Amino acid sequence: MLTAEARPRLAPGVRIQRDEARDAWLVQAPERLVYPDEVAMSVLALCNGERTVHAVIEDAAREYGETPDTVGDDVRALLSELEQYGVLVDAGR
Amino acid sequence: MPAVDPPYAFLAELTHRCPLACPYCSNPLDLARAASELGTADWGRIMREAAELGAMQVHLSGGEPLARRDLETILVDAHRAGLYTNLITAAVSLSEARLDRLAGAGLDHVQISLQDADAPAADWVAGMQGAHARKLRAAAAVRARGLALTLNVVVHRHNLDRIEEVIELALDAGAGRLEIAHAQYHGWALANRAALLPRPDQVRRAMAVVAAQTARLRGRMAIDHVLPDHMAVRPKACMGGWGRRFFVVTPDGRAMPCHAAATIPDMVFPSLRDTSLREAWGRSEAFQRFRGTDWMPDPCRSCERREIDWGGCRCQALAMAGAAAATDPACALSPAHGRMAAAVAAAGNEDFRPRRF
Ligand code: SF4
Ligand code: SF4
Repeated sequence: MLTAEARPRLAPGVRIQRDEARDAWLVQAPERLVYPDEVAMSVLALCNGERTVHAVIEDAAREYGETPDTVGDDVRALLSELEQYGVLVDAGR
Repeated sequence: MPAVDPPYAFLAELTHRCPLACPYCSNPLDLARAASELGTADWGRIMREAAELGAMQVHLSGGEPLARRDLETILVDAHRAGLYTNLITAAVSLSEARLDRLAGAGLDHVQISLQDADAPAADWVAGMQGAHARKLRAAAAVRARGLALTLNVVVHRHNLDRIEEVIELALDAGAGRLEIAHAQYHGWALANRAALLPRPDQVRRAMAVVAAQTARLRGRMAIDHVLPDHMAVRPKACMGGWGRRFFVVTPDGRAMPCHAAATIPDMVFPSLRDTSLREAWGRSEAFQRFRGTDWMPDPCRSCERREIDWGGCRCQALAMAGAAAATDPACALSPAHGRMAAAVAAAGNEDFRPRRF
């Protein structure tokens, strides 16, 4: 589980690239293709291994003109899903 | 004809050569000799054609892909085409120098097969003294370079009871993923089925262990494991459906919808020596035959799951129900479903036949 103090970043072997044939962004992971929507893409861009989950939520909220309280649950659920897919790991671990 | 969606990934079987002799090898019984293998330039062209068609990932496999001295060149072509590259290797012949060259050529991910957690048992199945130790050294070298590592273990009657040890070993080796794959009973595995099929109680115990360990290791190591077909009630969508997401290219250049498709006797697979991949994927009879749902017999034809599992595996239908166009006998609705359980009941601890040319 990614705690509030975890610092998510892309896992080894994961890269984000453009899928030209399907005109979409694609997260390439070992044996896995994940097509993120616009929100997931902007959250992934915040996951640089330095920001904590807490900071990712704050910055995502700012980007969408919301408060951390209103977006917190959604961002945490998204991060947790991406962790489960093997897309994100905790840089601090 | 409706437009065909492009594939997402493909398996490039670069060679059937391999220093090991696993009795469940997915290669056909009739192995392709080195002389019939595609050349470097052909593989480069296939990488580019695949990427243009819409494929995003290539699994470089075999046999042992390291047996090809031009692997680095093929890898560069795949990487330049924009493909995510996954090397599927037995790794007994993976030197540090070679690994450096492969990493430099743009390799994204390495998958190493292990046979067991117990070294003597692993070497016995692989048919090579010292194979297990060499694999673990290669795995450490992969991790030392910061490359992503998956370990793959084919499970069967002789190693399933050591599943905890397998998981611990993968964790110690620094794998980000562990694939626990039940042998798929085509090719060599079908020939050795009676020696390999696990007992139902072994499978049930392993399922419980894996479920508990998956939860415990979440965020540290992902574990992929699926219920084997012989104990399933519904089939798996083989390759995500025939000609829907995935294809295989054999060492001699034939394009196939799955790696066992050559077991279907009256199929003619397009050769990429003289057919473009676009043509093979979009129009060839072999890819069209079981695409979609029009070919389905009952009970699939009227079943609500027909676009979920696409009627299951054609090769298993052929092997167990006698016809490639039948419902996969892994499905409880198949008239031949009872044969799956009968095969389990008939299995015992007999000797297997190692794979050989
Ligand atoms: S399954 Fe074993 S024998 Fe077959 S290619 Fe893989 S390592 Fe070689
Ligand atoms: S009847 Fe056919 S479509 Fe329905 S679940 Fe069984 S295999 Fe799948």
